[in-house]
Amino acid sequence: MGRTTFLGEFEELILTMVLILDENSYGNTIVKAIKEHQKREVNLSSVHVTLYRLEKKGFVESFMGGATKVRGGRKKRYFKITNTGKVMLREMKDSRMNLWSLAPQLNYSS
Amino acid sequence: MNHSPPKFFVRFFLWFCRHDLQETILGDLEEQFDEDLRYYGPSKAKQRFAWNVLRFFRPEIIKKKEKTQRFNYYSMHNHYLKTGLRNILKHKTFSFLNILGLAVGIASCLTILQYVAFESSYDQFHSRKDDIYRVDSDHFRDSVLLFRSDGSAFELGPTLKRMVPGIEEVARTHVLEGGAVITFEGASSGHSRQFLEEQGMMYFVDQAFFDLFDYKVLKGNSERLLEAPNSIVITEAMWQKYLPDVDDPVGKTLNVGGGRYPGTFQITGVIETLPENTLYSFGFLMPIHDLLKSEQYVEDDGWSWTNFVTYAMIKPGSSFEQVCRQARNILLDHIDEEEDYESYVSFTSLNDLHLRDELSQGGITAETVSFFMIIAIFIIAIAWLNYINLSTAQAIRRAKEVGIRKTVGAAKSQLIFQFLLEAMVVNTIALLLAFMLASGTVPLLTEVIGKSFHFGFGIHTTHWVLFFGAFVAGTLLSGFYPALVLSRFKPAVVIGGSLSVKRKFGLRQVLVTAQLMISVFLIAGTYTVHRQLQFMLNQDLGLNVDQVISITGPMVYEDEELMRQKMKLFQEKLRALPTVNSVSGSDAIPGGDYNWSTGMSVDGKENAERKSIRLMFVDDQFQNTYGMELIAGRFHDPNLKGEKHPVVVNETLIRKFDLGSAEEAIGKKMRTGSTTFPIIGVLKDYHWTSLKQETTPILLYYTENGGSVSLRLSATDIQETLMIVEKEYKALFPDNPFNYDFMDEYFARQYQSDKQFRQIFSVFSFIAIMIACLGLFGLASFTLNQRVKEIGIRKVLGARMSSILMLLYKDYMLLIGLATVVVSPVVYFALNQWLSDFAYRINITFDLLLLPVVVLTVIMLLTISYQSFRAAVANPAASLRKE
Repeated sequence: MGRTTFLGEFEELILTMVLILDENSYGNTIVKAIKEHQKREVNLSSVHVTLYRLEKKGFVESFMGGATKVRGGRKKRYFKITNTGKVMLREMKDSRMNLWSLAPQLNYSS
Repeated sequence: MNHSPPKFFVRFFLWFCRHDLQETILGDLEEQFDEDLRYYGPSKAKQRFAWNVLRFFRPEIIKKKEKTQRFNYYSMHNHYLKTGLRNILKHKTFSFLNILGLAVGIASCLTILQYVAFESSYDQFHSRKDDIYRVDSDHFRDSVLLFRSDGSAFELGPTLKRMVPGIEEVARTHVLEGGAVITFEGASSGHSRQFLEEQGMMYFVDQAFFDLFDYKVLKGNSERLLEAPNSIVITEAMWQKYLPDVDDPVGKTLNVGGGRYPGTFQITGVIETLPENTLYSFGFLMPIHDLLKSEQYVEDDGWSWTNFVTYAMIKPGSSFEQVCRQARNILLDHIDEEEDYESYVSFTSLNDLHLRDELSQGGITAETVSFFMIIAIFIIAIAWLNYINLSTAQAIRRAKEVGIRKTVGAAKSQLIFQFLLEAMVVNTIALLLAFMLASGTVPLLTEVIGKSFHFGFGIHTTHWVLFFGAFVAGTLLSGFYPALVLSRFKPAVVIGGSLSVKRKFGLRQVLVTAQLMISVFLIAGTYTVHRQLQFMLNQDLGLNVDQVISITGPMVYEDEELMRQKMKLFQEKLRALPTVNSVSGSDAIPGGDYNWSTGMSVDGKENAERKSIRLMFVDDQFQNTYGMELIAGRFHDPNLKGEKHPVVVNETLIRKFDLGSAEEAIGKKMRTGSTTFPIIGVLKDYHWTSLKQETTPILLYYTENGGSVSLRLSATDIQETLMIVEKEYKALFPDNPFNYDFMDEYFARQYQSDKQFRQIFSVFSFIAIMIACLGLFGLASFTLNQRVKEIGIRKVLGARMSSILMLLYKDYMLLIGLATVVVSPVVYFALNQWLSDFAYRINITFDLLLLPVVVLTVIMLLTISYQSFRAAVANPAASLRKE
């Protein structure tokens, strides 16, 4: 495969969230979404740091968005998944499915 | 809804966060805050905001310094640290001495501080400790204070509470004199337990005792623990001792046998095991109203028997001075007509009872504690002096480095900073080592003093403050002077390579002299403490306690007459044993208490002054059992009939009452009240108690029913004899535990605290001297390095080895001499002060000062000999070739 960049578990989670949240993904929404879908408490700072790292690696891009009153009039930094990011996620999913197919078949009948 | 995030944290965030990220992150944070506000409410939301801000404090987010600045500070510090560490590693011996000296010094200091903190923590766990006072009485005659006593009558407490508005509550306590035998009758015989509890384990107290003092009640109703008659409160430790199998001791009964108030008591509560640092280390508490029902106190109007100790708690906010004024004269209305002195109420704070109570005998005092503090300061001072010494000595080696740094452009302040940083590195390493050492030595110390305190930093913030204060002070003190010296070098001179150190009497010599002075002081001190203790232990007591054992007589019995007959039978049986030389019954034994103290006068003298004497009840065998020497008259003999109340007295009594010579005293009479006591014999003075106290006038009165039995055994088969004695005892008194003491051990127990003092003192003196030696060692190697060429030239010119060695030793001998001369007056004064506490003491002689000189000289020779010798035998060709 020759892939040079890899994603950690947390990075993959954040990247997936950015994909899911589409137009509305920034720090707080990601924290909330992870709490909602994954029942997992993550700290805002970890999310931010990971987003910046993903941006550096080229999997997401960011743009400044509209301010709301609730944020003390401060702008949001929205994140959007790039094509590289999408390819990356897909690759990870495929390779995992490949591995699963190699595992002995589990019998789920009760 | 107008809550905003904590300002401080917002500012903090803006301070550390990168500019390009600030706006969006802060936005996110505020949005989160807003949501938390609705979810958790304002205070929790603020907390979470603060936490979130702190979590952003990570390298990815933190502002980077401007490029050039970063280069200067960060890598320069890095470089300083690196050269510092390299330097430590390069000169291993030096660094080792340096760090070891510091570490041992700091560790000793920490250990002592820990101990001092423990001694100062007595009874500090009571929440109202600052309001609690012991009620004392000051006795005056003609406006002169005769003495102060902590004993008060049982009406004093309630009267104080009634008459003095500033007093919130009082609690009376009364120790059960002589102890008692306590029995728990379990369900089956296997569960029964019986022990002899010594005096001090049992107290009669008011219910208010629990209001004044904070004891944690584990079982029972804390409001009414001692309300019911015959109730008893035990500690957790006693629960384990007597009823370990019982889940809830409340309601069970204990039998208190013997002692003065025997009976059956029902357990009404259990309190937590008392901590080590409390004055009252009781095991049982009983209601004082039970005690007051006994005959002795029913007959009393409440002001005669002053064998209660009363505590008063004043209301918060009320003036202590006013309470004192109002309470002072209360005793005047209830004074005993017969007494020829007036008594006034006074108070001693609970906080002063452990270390600053003038009434307590022996034990640890504030003086001892401050003495240890002084030693601690000495040790740390020696350690720091050492560091300064060794670092400046080493400085010459760094001269070139300093020169080059200066040439390249280092400012003086930068150099000072560099060497301070190095000092900090060394201090930090030493500190870590010291911590490990101290956590090892504290358990040793607790073993020596027999009290358990833990090496617990972190509990008290004051400790941390002290500790970091010491660290910063240590770094600055020990680092600043070397830093200053080093940064002063002139580059042109040092790089040229001809740097020489002037050999005048410089600071280094002053420092070494200071160390030597402390060492002289400590050696002289250790030696004196040792000599005094040896003196007390070896002093002829005037009585012989070797091979004597003393057995506590039965305390539990039904019929007193029957018990007396059994006691006689017991003594007869013991006398019949071949390995028992003599048997004596008495109510008091040497090294223990006296039976009675009373005032007596000489019969027949007009206006004879009453003086205090001690009275002991003994039988006719007492003299030969304890090997006392009779110098006139005869000892008690029940077979010889004579006047009533014959007594045998000691020499001190003859002297104090001016009865002339021993022979003249025979036949004269002592009087108290209307009773007269004719003197039939005079004993040579003997030490009934520790040599710390003067011998007092003693009067031996005859009794055939002594409570203790003393046996003089022949040297063989002591263990076997003891077993036979125990069997006889158990057969006659099955309800009583067999309890005995070897009298020589019993007597020596009085010196326990002195022995501990000697042990601790010697150990820390040794440590201090050892650290000073490290300093000498370092200094020696430094000066030798400086004089290698000189020695080489001398050798070439024909100096013999001995004269070279003399040359080297001379300087140090001079320093030792100087140190001794300077410190002598201080030593003399301090030791005299210490010795003045002892009634029988050694004199300070010349050898007390000679010994430190000899010891130090020997130690010094040992320390520097190796290096001096090497320098003296070295081939001069080797040292002179370099240039």
